[in-house]
Amino acid sequence: MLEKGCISSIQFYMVSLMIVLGTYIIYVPSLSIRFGGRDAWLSPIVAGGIGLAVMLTMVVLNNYFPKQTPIEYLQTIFGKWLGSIFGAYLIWVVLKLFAIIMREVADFTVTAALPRTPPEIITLLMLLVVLYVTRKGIEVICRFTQFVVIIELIQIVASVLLLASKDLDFAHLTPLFENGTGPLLRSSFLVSGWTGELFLAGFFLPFIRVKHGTVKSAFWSVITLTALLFIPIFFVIGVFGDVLGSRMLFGLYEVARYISIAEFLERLDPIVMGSWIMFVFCKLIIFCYAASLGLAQLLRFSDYRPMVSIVCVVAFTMNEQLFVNQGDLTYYFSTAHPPFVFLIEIIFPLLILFTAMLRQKWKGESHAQP
Amino acid sequence: MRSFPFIQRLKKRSKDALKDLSRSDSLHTEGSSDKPIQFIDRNLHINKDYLQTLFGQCSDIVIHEIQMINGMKLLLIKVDGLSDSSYFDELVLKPLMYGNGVNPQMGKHLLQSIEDFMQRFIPIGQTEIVTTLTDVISRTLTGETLILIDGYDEAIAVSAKKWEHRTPDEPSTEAVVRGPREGFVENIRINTALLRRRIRTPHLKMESMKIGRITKSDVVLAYIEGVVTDSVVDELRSRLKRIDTDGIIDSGYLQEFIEDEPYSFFPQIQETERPDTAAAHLLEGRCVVLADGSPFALIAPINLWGALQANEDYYQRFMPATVIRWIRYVFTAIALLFPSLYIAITTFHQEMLPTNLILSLAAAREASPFPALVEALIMEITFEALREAGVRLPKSVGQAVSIVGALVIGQAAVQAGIVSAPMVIVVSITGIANFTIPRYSFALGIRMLRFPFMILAATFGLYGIVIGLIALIGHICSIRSLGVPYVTPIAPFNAAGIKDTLYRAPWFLMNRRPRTMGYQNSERIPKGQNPSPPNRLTGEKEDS
Repeated sequence: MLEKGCISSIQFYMVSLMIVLGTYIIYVPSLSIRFGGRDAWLSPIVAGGIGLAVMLTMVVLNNYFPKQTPIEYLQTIFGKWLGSIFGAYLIWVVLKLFAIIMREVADFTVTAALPRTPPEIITLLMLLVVLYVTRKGIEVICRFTQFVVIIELIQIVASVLLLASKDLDFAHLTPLFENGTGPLLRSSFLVSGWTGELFLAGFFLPFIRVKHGTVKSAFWSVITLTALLFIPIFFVIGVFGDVLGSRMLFGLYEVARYISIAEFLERLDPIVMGSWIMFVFCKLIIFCYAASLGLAQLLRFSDYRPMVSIVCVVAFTMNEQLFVNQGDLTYYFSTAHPPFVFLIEIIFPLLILFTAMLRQKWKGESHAQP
Repeated sequence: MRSFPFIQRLKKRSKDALKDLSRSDSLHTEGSSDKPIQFIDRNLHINKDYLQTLFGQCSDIVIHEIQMINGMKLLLIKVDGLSDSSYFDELVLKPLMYGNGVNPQMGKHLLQSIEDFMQRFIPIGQTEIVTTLTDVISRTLTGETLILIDGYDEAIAVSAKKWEHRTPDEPSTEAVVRGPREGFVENIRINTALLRRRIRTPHLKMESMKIGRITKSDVVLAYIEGVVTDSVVDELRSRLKRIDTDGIIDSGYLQEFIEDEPYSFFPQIQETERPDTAAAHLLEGRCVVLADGSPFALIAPINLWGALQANEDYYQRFMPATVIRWIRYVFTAIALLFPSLYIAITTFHQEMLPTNLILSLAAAREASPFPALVEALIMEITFEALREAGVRLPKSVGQAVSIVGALVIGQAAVQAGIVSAPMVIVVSITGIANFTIPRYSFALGIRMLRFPFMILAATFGLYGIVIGLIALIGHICSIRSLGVPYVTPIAPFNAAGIKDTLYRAPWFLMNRRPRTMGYQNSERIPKGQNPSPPNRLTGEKEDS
């Protein structure tokens, strides 16, 4: 195998949290309110179910091929040529998501903190650090994620959410299902675009050292994730209501701005910004690692490290070319993104699983016959 | 003329020996196999001439020939100042020369062997027989007194060493309010004794090795067998054995050879001047390396959090210790980030501050001619220079420096309007915060890392600081100390380790050793020792 490191199941748990949570906090709350109105805060329940399906699909696939990443077992399942084509497509998707995340960070930083800095500089600085950490290998990536989860998640939950709970108005959250279940399903469709990203766990599952904790940590990661996804939307609706909340660009960021206690503890948005950039870094590193590892496996390299810089350069160009401006990005998220990721992140893994099962069955029969 | 062939042989041999000395590899402690071993000659004069040539201009080496009462010739070799002459003379020389206990009629042949001689006439416990001249030389240089006897090809090494050293007094770098006041000294024997006195078990192993081709310094690797993970000891031992250098003057030399990631601001090996700290780490399943000539012991493997824990945390009651530990965490962050946060906020994010505060800040900064970064750099570098000046200067002059520093830099610069008053406050708080870090080498790294953060803050504001922090976290997550991840109880996560990281649990609850180091014998303190009041009716303790 290209990667010699191994991770523990608790590290896998935290990596799975970060795969989704990274970009979720800032963009999704407002977008989901735009789709689902007042009922949007329930959408993580449905989306979490979808995430669980994706996660379990990856776990079952990992049971079939314990030491292989998706790129490798695609070639086992579909044969060398078709498998490589599917693998290349998968890598392209990961690359595109990587570029989108990068764009999100750059846009957010420019809007929220540094309005006169060119976004390219911000992205380049970010990529340098991503490059540095990704090249250190899976163990460092997981430790980094763990560090950030433990330090930052506690911080963001403790500081922002506890302080903002003063401004919560539960009247904003009712009545439920005023317009039927349609809005809820629509916002769930959007949110499942993020929970579906859990298919990336397939790149980390083969490296778990002690396998028997895998299912448990995979299951609990999705459960924890659903709870964590629920909080930001809940707070945005609770503090601002659905009308105001849907018009905002960065929901939770505005919540943090809104905090004012004793005329001294106010304007906590830099804390949110700092924590969130750390979260996004975890996600960026995870995606960059998956893309470079996959690429190296597809091209049969003996080391994934040379691929990291290639992935970074390609993603940098993609992030420049994909969107014209921030409005374009938000428009993409609310129109093309959900069906695209639904197809590739949810239908595609199920398809792989189905084929693998068929193959297994066919293989079992063929073994039985002679 | 009889001695002519001997002289030829002698000259050749001493020339070889000198050549050996000048050749670097023969000075290596491990001893290269191609080096000829010089055996002791039966003829005392050959040995004497050889040694005299070898120790040519060494005025401190005493090579002294004496005659026993029965006519036997002895050759004594010792280093003046390292060997205990009066003790040796009284116990060994006097009886031999004046005949106290030696039969004057006893001829040479009556001595069966050199062992026999040693057992009968050397009333000193630590004696040993050596057979090669190389050994004679190396043992002489460690302070032992060597006795060569005419007619025998063996020598006796008598360990009568004595040299001046400090008494173990309170270490100046790691002072405590409550706790033992002994410190390591430069003498390695006293240091090992200080450890042994605290840990009285045969499982406390102290492996000795000599490092340094020229200095041949004693290095001791101490660990508690059965508690420490064997692979860690093996790794440390192999790293120590791998060192090929001309000399070890301080344990700092060793440290750079055996660290996992030398290109880092974070020390992966902790140094301590306190035997109690070293003993506590030994009990946790770590290794301690002592080097002769250095009062600083090295401890490995360590983690990041260990650098923020003082030994006094464990002597004080646990609740105040926890609070103090948290103050230390917060002030470490301040020491690293406060100047850069000040720069970022005053340059990019003024809206973050409460209105009144930003008004008074702006008023104070109005007169200042420099941008915040320049101002901060001037002040921080001046502060570093003041600190450096204060360290090296004699105490009487040092006071003058602090007066000049405080008055001229602090007062005058603000009054002259060169720097703003808030900047002085920031610099002072940063300086104080840095002193809260218990480990000097770690604090030094944090001090240096301030500067890149300040530049990042001035270029990208808070975003720059966050990027810097991310790179820093990535770095500390990637380094290891003897193979143990540097941020260990947090990442990789270990719930039991949190007891000694986020807070200091009371002793009766710290049931297990740190998992990454001492898992062989993981139970440290059996459960159920919480103190509780006695049940008055039965007189027995309540079950906890």
